Order: sequence, then structure tokens, then C-alpha cells
Amino acid sequence: MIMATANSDRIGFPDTEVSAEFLASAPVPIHCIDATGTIVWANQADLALLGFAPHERDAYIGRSLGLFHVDPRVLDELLARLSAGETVHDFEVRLRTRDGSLRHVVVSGDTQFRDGKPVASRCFSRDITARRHAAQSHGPRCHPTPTTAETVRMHDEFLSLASHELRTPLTVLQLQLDALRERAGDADRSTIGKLDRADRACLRLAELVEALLDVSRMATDQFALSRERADLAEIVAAAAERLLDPARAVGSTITVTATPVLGTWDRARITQVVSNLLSNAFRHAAGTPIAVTVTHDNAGAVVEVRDRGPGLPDGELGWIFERFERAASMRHVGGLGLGLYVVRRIVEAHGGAVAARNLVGGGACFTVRLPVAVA
Amino acid sequence: MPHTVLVVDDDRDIRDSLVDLLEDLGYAALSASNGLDALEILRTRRELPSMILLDLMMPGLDGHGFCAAQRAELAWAAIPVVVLSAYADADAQASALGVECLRKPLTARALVEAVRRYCPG
Repeated sequence: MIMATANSDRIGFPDTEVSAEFLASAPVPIHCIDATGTIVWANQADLALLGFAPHERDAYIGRSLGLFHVDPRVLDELLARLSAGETVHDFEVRLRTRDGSLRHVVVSGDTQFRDGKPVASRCFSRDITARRHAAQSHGPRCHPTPTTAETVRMHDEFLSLASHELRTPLTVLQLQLDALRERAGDADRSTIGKLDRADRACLRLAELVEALLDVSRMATDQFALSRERADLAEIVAAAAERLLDPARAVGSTITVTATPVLGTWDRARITQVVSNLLSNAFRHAAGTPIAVTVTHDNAGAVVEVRDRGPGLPDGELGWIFERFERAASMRHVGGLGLGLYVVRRIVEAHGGAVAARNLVGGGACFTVRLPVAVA
Repeated sequence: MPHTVLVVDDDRDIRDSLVDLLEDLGYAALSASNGLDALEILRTRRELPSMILLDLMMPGLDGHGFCAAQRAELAWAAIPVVVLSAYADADAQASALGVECLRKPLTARALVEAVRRYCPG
């Protein structure tokens, strides 16, 4: 029975007429196994993968999955992960088809539970035999060095996977914290304080993940801008507005004075520049007013972020935008100093330059100069 | 009759978090762990959801495949979709699909604003 209620996501075996027909004709091989590893349902594509004709369904259903797997330990691992409740993505296995030939397959799947016990697992398969054969045709002793394009592709894949894997638990954490805060209502100050600290830690973790992914991308020059014609003043003002709450949280204020400057900018990246510069000010000049200005001169646009904090140590002004450099002591201020490096790389990608200086009377000023490129 | 939101995400914790949040806000929530399950819900429900929150990377039928199938069916094509994705290029992928994107990690506030845009009242 397929069920979908307001509080449930339990999808059972495809045993209604509509769903059975729908899944049976899907071009993706799909099968379901019960908790003992017995095949209890399979669609036509899955039968074909194992060398069975549609009318030979009965010769396939009811058999143990182990009969078709070449590597028992690999199957054991797959079943263990599924029965532990894990959603498996692209798990590679080798299958022996009905005529004895070998198929390389990647399996994705998950398990349904009832009363805490695994009831059935559904597996979606993809045949990668041709790809494996192509790779093996180089010979067993041949380990070709990846080409630059392959290296870039592998790096891209890694980043994509890393992004997904790092951001997914952060999403859960953030949503749960938001829910707790909502339910806490007028809870005592101590509880609210704990939620505030957890919130800040979550935010810092999210920023760190983004910065690490950016730095990794920049390290291999996989950093392309997506420019559009826009008003820099509008982009900067919007970016600053989004950080009013975090500014309040550290006792700071943000004022924006912006003259319109039309040019071609990567909106998301310029937003990131402003966000990183303001986050830097929150960290190093908490409690002081922060002024953001956008102006232009003959050389192009100028964005400045000024705070009234302790300023930057003189000896470190020259290298504050390098990777992993941070002017303040690690003991006093957290973070790896990635934010300003990311700022520099984004600004340079726009053909601009970034600089920092101390202000007379106290405080620091970060200046971003951007040429007004024409699309 | 509250609006119904369909949540499609392969991560159980995210699904549960989103369903909890939506129900706290007074919406009815359905959930599915991949595109095939989501299409099955659309096929079998009498009342269609008012909007769909859709992950992109899922086993079986992913978010792109789901969108293609959803748009191919006249009765479902008008249901607004908001992509929730942890992909580095999530915005570009959502833009290619012609739908709004909320990047993970996302806050409850961002989600609520998006849901209220499509499910007012």
C-alpha cells in the first residue's frame, strides 16, 4: 500500500496497480529486497540487467541477492549500510548475470523501517560495465597520469560532493536550532544564551565551509565570474542590509552611503566581498560603528568599509590578504583568515585591487577598487 | 483547509526537520525521499500540493528528472517548485530549471519567507 500522509513519508512496495505499472516500465533498473536479502520485486530494466526476459520474472523474484553478487564481502557491506538506515549513493558492485557474464554496476538505495526494524530496501542500479572495460583496456600495469582536464573534473566532482556532504548536516543543525528557538519562546535567559551561542557556532561553521570550498576552487583556478550589468551601490547596500542582524548581535551599526556606479559585476561574488569585509569588522571591531561607502573616480569604483576598532598591527598590513593569514592572535579571534583571501581573489578576478590601512584616530579601512568593465 | 507542501529530499533528517517546521507553521506536509516517490504521491493524491520543496541530488530519480516529469503532466506543471540544494552551483542549476533556489544550509526564516510567497494566507 502506498501511503503519503501529512506526517508520513513511508512509501511501501509498489503494490498498487498505478505505481507498479509506473515503476515496472521505468528505464532505471529497480529492485526491492526484504530484510533477509531476498529479491521481492524488480522492474523490467532490472530483469534485463541480469539477463532475464520479462516472462522469466518468476525465475528471478524470490531468489537471494547473493546469488548474483560476485563479491560476498562487498554485498555484506552494502546490506549492512542499508539495514543501518543509510541512504547509499553509487555503491559499486559486480554482478554475475544469468549467462555468466560480469556486469559492473553502481547501486543507490535506502531502507524502509517499521517499528525500528528494517522491512525492505529498494535499490536503483546503473550499469557502468562499458566504462570499466574502457578503463581496464589500458592494461593492468598501466596507470595513466590524469590529464589536466581529468584532474579538473575530479576536483570538480570532489568539491561538488564535499559541498553536499558538508552543507547537508549544517542544514539540519540550523533548522533544528531555529525550531528550538521558536519553541523556547520566552524561556529563561540562560536557555536563550545557549541557543545564541549554538546559533553563532552554526553560522561560523557555515561560513568556514563556504570559505574552504571557495579557497579550494580558487587554488585550481576554477573560479569563473558570472558578470551582469548592475549598479554596484545597489549590490553593496543589499549585501549590507542582509547583515544588519549579525551587526546588532555584536553591538555594531552599519551605515551605507552609496553613489550609483553602473558596471558589469558578479553580483553574488561582490555580495560575498562585502559580507566578508563586514564579518571581518564584526570579529575584530565588535561594538563599533561600521561605515560602508561606494563612490567612483576616474579609475573606477571604490568600496570602503571602515570600523572604529583597534586597527591592524602595522607589521601585518602587507600580508593580511594572503591565504591563512590573520593579523590578530589565534588565541583571541577564531577563524583561519580565509575571508580576506577570498575577498582579494574575487576583487582581482574583477580586475581590481584591495588594500587595508589604519585610520587616524583609530580603526581600520578596507578599500576595494574595481574597474568599471563594460559588458 | 491548510496549504499542503511536498518536501522531496533523500536526507531523512532534513525531511523531518522541514516537515516539522511546516507543520509548526500550520501547513500540511507530505514528503518523499526521491523523485520517483514524489511523482507517485502526485499520481495518487486527490488534492495536489500547493508547492514543492525539491532537493536536486537524490538516488533514483533526481531533482532534474522529477522536474521534467512534473512539467510533462499538465495537471502538475503549474505547481511551484523551490529547489533546496547543497550543490556549489545550486543557483545556476535552479536557474536552468527556471525555479527559485534556496541554498543549503538554509535558515527557517528563509524557508518560511519562500513558503509564504507561494502559499499565502
